[in-house]
Amino acid sequence: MKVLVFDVWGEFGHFRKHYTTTSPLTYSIPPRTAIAGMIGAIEGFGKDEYLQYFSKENANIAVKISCPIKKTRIAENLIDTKIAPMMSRIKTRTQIRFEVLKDVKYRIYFSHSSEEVYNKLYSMLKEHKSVYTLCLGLSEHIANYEFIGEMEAVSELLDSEREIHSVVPEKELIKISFEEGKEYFSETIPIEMLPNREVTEYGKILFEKNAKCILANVNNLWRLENGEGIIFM
Amino acid sequence: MIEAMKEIGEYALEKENKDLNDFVSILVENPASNETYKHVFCIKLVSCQNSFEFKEIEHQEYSKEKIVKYLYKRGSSNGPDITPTARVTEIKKTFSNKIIGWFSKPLKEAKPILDGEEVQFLELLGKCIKENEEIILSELEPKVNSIDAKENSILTLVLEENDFVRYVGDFEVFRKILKNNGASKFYSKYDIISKDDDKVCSVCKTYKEVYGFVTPYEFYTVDKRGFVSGGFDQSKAWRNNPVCLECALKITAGKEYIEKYMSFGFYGFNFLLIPKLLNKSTSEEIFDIFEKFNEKKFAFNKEYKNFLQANENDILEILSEADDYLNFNFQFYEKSNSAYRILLYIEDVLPSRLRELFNSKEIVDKKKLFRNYSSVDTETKSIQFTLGNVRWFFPNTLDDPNLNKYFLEITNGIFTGAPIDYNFLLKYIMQRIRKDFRNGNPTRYSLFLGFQLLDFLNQLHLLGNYTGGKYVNSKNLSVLLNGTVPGEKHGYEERTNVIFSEFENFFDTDAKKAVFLEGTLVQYLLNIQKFQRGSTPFRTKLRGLNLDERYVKRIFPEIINKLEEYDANYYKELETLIAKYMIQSGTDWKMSNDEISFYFVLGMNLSNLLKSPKSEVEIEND
Repeated sequence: MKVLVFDVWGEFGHFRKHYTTTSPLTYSIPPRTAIAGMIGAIEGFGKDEYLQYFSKENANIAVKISCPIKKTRIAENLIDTKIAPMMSRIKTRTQIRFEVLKDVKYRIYFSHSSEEVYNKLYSMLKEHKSVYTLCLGLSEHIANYEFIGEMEAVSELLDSEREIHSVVPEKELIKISFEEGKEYFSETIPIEMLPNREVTEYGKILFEKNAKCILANVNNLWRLENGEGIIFM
Repeated sequence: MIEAMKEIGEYALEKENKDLNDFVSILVENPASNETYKHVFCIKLVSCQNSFEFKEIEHQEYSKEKIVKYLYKRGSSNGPDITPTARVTEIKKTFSNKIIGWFSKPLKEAKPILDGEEVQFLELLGKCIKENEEIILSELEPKVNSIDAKENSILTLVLEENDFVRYVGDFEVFRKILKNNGASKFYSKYDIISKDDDKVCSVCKTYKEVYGFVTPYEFYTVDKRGFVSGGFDQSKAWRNNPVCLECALKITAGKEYIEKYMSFGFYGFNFLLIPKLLNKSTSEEIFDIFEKFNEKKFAFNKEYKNFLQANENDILEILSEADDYLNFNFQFYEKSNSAYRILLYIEDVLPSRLRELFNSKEIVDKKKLFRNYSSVDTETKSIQFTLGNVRWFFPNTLDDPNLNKYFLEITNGIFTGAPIDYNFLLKYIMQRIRKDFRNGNPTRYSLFLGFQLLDFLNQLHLLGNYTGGKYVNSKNLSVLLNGTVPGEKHGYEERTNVIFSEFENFFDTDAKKAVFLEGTLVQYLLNIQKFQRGSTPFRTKLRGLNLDERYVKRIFPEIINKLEEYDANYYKELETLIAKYMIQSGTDWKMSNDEISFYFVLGMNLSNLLKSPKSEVEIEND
């Protein structure tokens, strides 16, 4: 299988945990749905349509943490939408403390059943073009990106522990071997969403906070030509 | 966090033998919010044919076993509660607002879910109470007023039927109302309904009826349209945060348990300590720890101040002994009015990390310097590291509201292992020390706390941008001194080396040693001044402890000169040592003013440790 590999990074990022609004906390990684949005932005799919291209059936998406996860807190002044008519005639603001990711960098792996979608991303990435501006969760956290290459991924059938570089969906996990000096975290993130923004699947994912690889027995592992082992979310 | 709360809820429900299908037992609240609620006043009615009659006011003792019978559930603060059972504030008001009041609005609101018979029953009940309002009050008032003013009471209804007394909770109709109300808050708010059938619950991930307004705390509210991402439609909130009824109830139960056993106060902040279990079989153990700790907490001290204090008063010390099958989330929060703000959320702290913190603390506490902080007569006082050290330099003040924020950030750094900038810390440590100095107070306490804090962080490798001796090429001074100083006078060097080697990470350059020793020398001078004239005019020369490299070098001869003027220069050896270190350190120390001042004041405060027995005698003789 051919996989497109590219890095995205930015100074700050915020992927709001769905159960917070007034004290927004952030996920440590972009959920699969957010990555779909990023790819949609590069290719130029509108916000009402992009989700239909990225169902799990059609799109394979994996993500690797490239820089250690750091979180900090920043207060932002939001529009008080209780009072502001049309959300534009602003009278008051409401100050909200955002938990944000700092010095963010992820590597994204993508393949798609439709050649059209795949090739379009390929050509856009190659020329470092995007239709909409790429951001890390919120529009104020603009992201840059770099095409790493198109790589051949080989499915690895296994009965032993392997190195995995991407985050690991818990449902693919058979057994993990915890190593000294690594910090393991897990989060439940939205995996798949309908165009009407109804989430149809939530999944628990496991990752190492300092961008180190994880040693585990898993299902559905793919090995890239550069040696990276990934699992699609 | 939500999942952890749900799991805690499952445990709490199981422990209290509450059945999830028995909604009411989960939703019902204990009317006795504290131990002062000792009395229950029951308005006793009897049913006769198709109406009710008021019989009497019955005074009972409050009983915990009857919580389900009282069927109390708090409503809005001004209006009536969910059922006609209320906590008595001012009896007249309570009776008219919470009991009579209940039969107007809440009853009207509940009508859609009740059948005709039930509505009629309640209406008749209300009518009877309303008609007997004056009689009831005239009986009630003296009884309520007769109880001890320090004690509180509860007001409820009972109904006598064929010599059989039934409480509010014995009637299906009230249970139905409570049930409806309990569930409706999960999907009905701001006059908007947000729920849908057969959707994925974000907590248990199964397809069920899901609600949009479920949250344990107000860090999730949908009161502003802007909070609903993907269309700003509040009724579609369930798409953003879908939770099924079962999970909502478990979360509610979990929250209650957490509030009871896992919430603590901490240097003016509140925080919840939420354990996340990886292995369910061991959950009981860990909950036991919390429950036991809670008992103790009330016996000792309600305010929990012993953060990072290594004894049985610190829950963290106890938890640090656990294996890494669980981790902790710290949620520091602030409540103002109805808003709930998460100030800091520290995720996934492993017991082994806590252990590391305590180990570092132990190493630091064991150091001689801190063990013998002060000795008055035979009593030796030690100072031990707690997060109080941090708080000392970052207190809650009106002039600098940022300090609160910094305190939390440093706490976060300590728990998660994020480095804290060395110069940043020094700035605030010196700020405090300078303040003490300006006000003429001893700087010793602040200095020791600050030094201990730096040492603790250094143990954990958390001092960010601490470059130490990177810039200065330092050689072992003994080599340099070899043969130049007579043997018997090696006292100062030996004594200083004891300190230098105990804190070798902090005395890694000659410049630091020079500044440190010059501070010592100044203190000797000040002691002499104090002794001879009763005042210390040289203090003014210290520029309020705002020193830099040039100035430190400049005042060195001035100090010696002053000592000569007093005819008390017993410190020639120390001066030689300082001079040697100064030469060795060269120019351009690359030390900030704060750092130079810190080492200087450190020298001043540790001067007594370096004093040779001889010079002490000399001073005393003076």
